[in-house]
Amino acid sequence: MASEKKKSSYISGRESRKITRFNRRVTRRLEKERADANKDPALYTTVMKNPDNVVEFDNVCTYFFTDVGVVKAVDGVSYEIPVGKTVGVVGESGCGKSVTSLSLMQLLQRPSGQTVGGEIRFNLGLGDGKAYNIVNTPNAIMEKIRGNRISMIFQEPMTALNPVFRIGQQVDEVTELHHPEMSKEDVKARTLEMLELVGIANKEGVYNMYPHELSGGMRQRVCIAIALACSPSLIIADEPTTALDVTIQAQILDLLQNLKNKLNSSIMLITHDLGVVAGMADYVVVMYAGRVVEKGTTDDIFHHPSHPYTIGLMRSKPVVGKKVEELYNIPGSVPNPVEMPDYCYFRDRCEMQCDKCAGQYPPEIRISDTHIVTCYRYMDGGEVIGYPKSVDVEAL
Amino acid sequence: MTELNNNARQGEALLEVRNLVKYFPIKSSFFKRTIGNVKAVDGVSFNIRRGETMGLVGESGCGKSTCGRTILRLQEKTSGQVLLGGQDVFALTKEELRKLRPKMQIVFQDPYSSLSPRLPIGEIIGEAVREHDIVAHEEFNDYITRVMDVCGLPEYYKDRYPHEFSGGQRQRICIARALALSPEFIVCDEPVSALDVSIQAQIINLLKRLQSDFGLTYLFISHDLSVVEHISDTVGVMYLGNMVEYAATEKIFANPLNPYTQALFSAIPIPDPDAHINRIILQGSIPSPANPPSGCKFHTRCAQCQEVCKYAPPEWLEVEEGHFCACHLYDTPDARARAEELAGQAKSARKAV
Repeated sequence: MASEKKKSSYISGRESRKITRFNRRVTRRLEKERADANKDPALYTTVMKNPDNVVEFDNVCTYFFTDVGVVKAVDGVSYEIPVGKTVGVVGESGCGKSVTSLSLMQLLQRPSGQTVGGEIRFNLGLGDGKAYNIVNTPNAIMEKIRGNRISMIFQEPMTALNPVFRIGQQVDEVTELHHPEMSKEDVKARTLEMLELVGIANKEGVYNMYPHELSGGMRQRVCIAIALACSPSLIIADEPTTALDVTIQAQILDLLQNLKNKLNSSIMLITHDLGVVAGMADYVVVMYAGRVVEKGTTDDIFHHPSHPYTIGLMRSKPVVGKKVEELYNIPGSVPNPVEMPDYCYFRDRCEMQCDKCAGQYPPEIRISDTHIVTCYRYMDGGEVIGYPKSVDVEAL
Repeated sequence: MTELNNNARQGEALLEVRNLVKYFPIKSSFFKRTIGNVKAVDGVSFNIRRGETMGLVGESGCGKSTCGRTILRLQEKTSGQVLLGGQDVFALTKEELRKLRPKMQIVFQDPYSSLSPRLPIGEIIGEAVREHDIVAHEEFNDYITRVMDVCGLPEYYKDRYPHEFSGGQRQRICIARALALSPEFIVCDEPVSALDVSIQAQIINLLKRLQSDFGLTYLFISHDLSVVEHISDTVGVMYLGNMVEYAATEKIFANPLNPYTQALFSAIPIPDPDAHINRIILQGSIPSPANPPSGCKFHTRCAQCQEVCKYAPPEWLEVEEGHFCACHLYDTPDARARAEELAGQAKSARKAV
């Protein structure tokens, strides 16, 4: 077994050169297409399927062209974020939840990371459902969207803030950038207002402080202030409380919820903590190995978890007040991202597999109005929506 | 594995910690004079019975990790006493301490930085075994294989290096390394916080199985309360270097007494959208341990703060049987009288200044 395993991950010099050549060819072409600054707006404007959504992900494929092969980090992901709602995205590390959000912001590590297929429609909020397809949007327009219409809160508030600038400067920067018509005094007044909004009592003092003078919770509040400075229509919170203590976590989540209601923004909450999702989200998307395995309202997911992975995930977390002798653990581990199997990705770890599972990757099946599962077990009782579409790498 | 199964006697206290204090001096920049102390652990006492697990919880910076490390004498104490199986850990000479080391082991939080990248797995696990002559030279290889097998690691991993493994596997290696010395007592310093949920379950199950197989005693340090509730027999809650509450797990989760414990427990996110709990949201954050508040250290954030809390530190009292708590809300009449007197003195002293 040892030698077999070694063989599978071994790449000869010739193969390695072949991969590098291929990567260079593909990424150069994709970069060239993107670089065209005076793109025809028709190429990147489109119409929302449902004007009540802020963002619609439609079969998004984000691949990384690495030296060991193509990693399909996000492979045919579809879900939508309605206006004014919180969508929780759950999954283990490496399942593609962060990459989805980075694709939406066009913050992928280029040129190796590329969104090669699908559409990300971002609602312009004009009321007629006009939208940008973020995948094709040129950089000049993205710069106006990032931080202004869509903003992001990161996991580590210490690394997200610049240690050599004062807090005030860092919050000012966002407003100055997106509202160049505002005077310096107005910008400062706005910053102080934001700092007060996120619950910093000593706003004048904090304005002149450096990030290291603040505690973790305070830093995260500052990050939230930066994210909200331009009243964005979507806030992406990428594990906003993972680095914080439980008591501080409760404060921050409470704050986010309140601010969301005040500004009528939507939140995309990326986390691996099911408890946080249950308390915050209206809709939940469960991802596994780069694909959505289950999505629905919070009630659907927590009261009727249907995909074997979701069920396993729920059972493997100890819950306060519910004593169990032994925790359930999902056997095995996530498949190698370079060589994904051609059947259901979860099959090798699944305890409920049937004969059908050996075939093609299962389609998305609607089992109730709001609840969609990607599993063959529901083939009989539900309506098949469609298969997640992968992009053929060889054809690129 | 009979040689590992050496803890037949259950029920007696294996570890006794008495009034443990650990200060880290703050030095001035020029003359290196001590100008203050970070009071990381400030008088902590507890016992752990053989074969049981004690959970130690609290916010970051409350001194739980320092407490664990000081118990193992990985750093020297400031004052207090630690008895492991009746032996005073701090009274031992270097040679005696070396003999005691295999009996007490630690599993660290971050499995990425606690394994040497230059050693193969077999050597990582076996190094200390050879050093301490746990088994005869000719049995060495078999022994390592058996220890790895117990921790769910296949034999052919022996020649591989840590970078080839995922986080969960590395944590298994760390556990195997600790277990190979047939210890009686293991400090688990946040062993699952760096891992994914499904991997967490595997490691927790492994720790529980090893405990029942080999009669191990754990000090389980964590900030994840649901994990602590699952694995511990007793729970101690720390705040700013002090233990504020200690009781059996069922007792403390069913009826937390100290206002801090109540707030901490109410902040646990529950994976059920219908669960409506009255969250007590604490304002502000944990004060600096270099300059802790006077009196009860929690009084700056406490919703039920009284006048006496600001001046007199609460006494460590047994409120119910086996349920200890340090809070003025549960003072006995004479403890109250002592506190009032102390508060009066402190007040007049402050006025005089």
